[in-house]
Amino acid sequence: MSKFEIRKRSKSEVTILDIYGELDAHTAPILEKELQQLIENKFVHIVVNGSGLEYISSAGLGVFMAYIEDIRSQDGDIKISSLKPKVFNVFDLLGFPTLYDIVENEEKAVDRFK
Amino acid sequence: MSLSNATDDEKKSRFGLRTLLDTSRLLIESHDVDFVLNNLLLISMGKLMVNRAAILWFHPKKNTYSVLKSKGRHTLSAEVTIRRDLFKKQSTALCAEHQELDHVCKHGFEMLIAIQNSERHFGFLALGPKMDGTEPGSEEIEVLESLVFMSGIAISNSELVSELRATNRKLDYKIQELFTLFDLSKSFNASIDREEIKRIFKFTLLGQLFVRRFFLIIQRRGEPHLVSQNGLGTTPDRQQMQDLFAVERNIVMVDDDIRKKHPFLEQVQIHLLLKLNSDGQEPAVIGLGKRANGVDFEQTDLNFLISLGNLALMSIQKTYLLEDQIEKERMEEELSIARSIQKRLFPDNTPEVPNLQIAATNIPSYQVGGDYYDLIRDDDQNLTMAIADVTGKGVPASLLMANLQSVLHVLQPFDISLVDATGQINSLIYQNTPSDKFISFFWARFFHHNRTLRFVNAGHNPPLLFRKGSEPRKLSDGGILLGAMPTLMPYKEMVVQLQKDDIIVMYTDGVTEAMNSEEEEFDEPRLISCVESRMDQLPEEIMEDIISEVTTYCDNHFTDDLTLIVCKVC
Repeated sequence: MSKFEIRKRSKSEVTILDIYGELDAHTAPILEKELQQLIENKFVHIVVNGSGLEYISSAGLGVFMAYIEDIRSQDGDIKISSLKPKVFNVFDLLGFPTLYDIVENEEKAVDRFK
Repeated sequence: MSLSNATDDEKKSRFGLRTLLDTSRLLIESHDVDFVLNNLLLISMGKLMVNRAAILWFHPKKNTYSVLKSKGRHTLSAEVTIRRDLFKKQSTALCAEHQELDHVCKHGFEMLIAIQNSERHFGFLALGPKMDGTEPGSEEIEVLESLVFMSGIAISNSELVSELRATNRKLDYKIQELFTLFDLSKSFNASIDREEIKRIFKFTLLGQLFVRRFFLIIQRRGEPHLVSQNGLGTTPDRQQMQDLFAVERNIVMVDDDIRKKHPFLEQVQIHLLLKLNSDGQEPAVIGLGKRANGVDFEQTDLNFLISLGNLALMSIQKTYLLEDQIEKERMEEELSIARSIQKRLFPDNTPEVPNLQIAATNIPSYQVGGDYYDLIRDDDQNLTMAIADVTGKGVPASLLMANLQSVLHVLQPFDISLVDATGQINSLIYQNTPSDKFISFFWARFFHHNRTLRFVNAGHNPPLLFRKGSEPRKLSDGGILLGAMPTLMPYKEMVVQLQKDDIIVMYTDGVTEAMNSEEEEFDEPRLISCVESRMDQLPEEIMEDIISEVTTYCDNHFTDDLTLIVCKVC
């Protein structure tokens, strides 16, 4: 079984990525690939639902950094929702909340695009 | 102590340590440069919160750098030079502090960190500005430098590993080749079936070297033979094949020059020619098309091909030799059967008739010969004696001789004159033989009650009649050789009145044409004097003496069959 998994959904204009498992150097390319595809197809309103995310490493955080500029230049954004406290701590620790919308639940995240 | 109790700074530094630990584990395990660099980019971006990062890879030959891998937006696309001396004391340089780096930094980067180990410089990690607008702290830089340093080690490790892998692969391939050759030599040796050898050759070319289009031409007795081919679509003719043996080198890449000389090579898309010369054997040429995987032939492939070709060539030649051997043995066996049949065509023993003592023999120089003699006694105790020499030697001559023998025996019971019988025999032989085959033939019938001899000589060396006190008489009357032309005129029969102690010697040219070392023939006079000095001896003794004199004369080098009949009237 893979350590990391992504499921993709749509809600109105927003693409929702449910991510599960551990996002680290090994699994980061899976998320990278997904984001690249979305950017290519101009689906730049993205919510990453992290309710299933168990662990994130620096490399995993790097993925969010690597594509944000492309997405924002197309008037899009990545909103992050539903993080487990343990995982949120890591985002928080490194100061991600100042740069990203990190919210409690998916609904709020989707609302931020309105 | 749990995370929640610690201060933010402690938490941060702990996360930094955690990152280093995780990364070091990752890097030690990874032997993939791409993964190492990707990971370095992502970690440093996540760690420092920068949204652009790039690996500037060093090209030692040009002393320049280009972007090997990047994430986020930047505008650096050309190759750049970077002054290495800026990184002598520390591995990190901030753009703000070094104007010399402006040409790099203006593309969206804030700092460069050298990726290197003690032996080699790989390039730089270039990072954009922190997204929160702050300057990177010294602790952050320290962690980054550690990451970069570990990555440098991981890169050289992975390069070493891939080098080892490549070497291992080459070795594996070599071993595989050796095994293939070993297997092949076993299968080739085990097989005397040429089709099987060709099949092995073909599948080895296909399977080991991915060569689908090829031919193998072997020279056999000076003639080229297309022994095996695949995918040519056409077959070269004799001259085209023969011309290939004129190539000067053993390995020839087919270029325009060669194509001009051998246009069909282009037509069948052959790109490589190998000429094989195994010791003392006839040569072979292998033509090969391009490999299906598009890889060019390397020296090791050529060595393998030559080994394979030589193995196949030797095995195929072996099958030819074996066939020749079998053929030879078969022919020898047939010849010895023919010889034993021929022996039985000669009389088993010398018949006894009144008033005549007889001795006769045939000594063949080949396994089967063309000489013939016969002694047939009829119901009245009269004796028919015949001696003949068929032109040529070996099986064809012996066949004709057997034919003559059967005719003679078929005619014998009939009361038919020598003249008519000779005419009939001639007609038969003439019809049954090609125009260049003749038989010299002498036969005579001895009537014991009045000691007369009737004879017909059809072109045979005249037998000699010796009588005490007179010159030997030659019994030469009769007609032409048997089988030369149809019987237009009857043969002539002569009658001789014999006396007691007369000696008749009938012989074939094996006696008179036996040669000494000076290439002088034994000839008739020697035969005559040999007999004349022994007029009082028994026919058996005279015959033995003639043979021994001839044998001595030619030093036992008989080139022809030798047949003798000696008889003495009593």
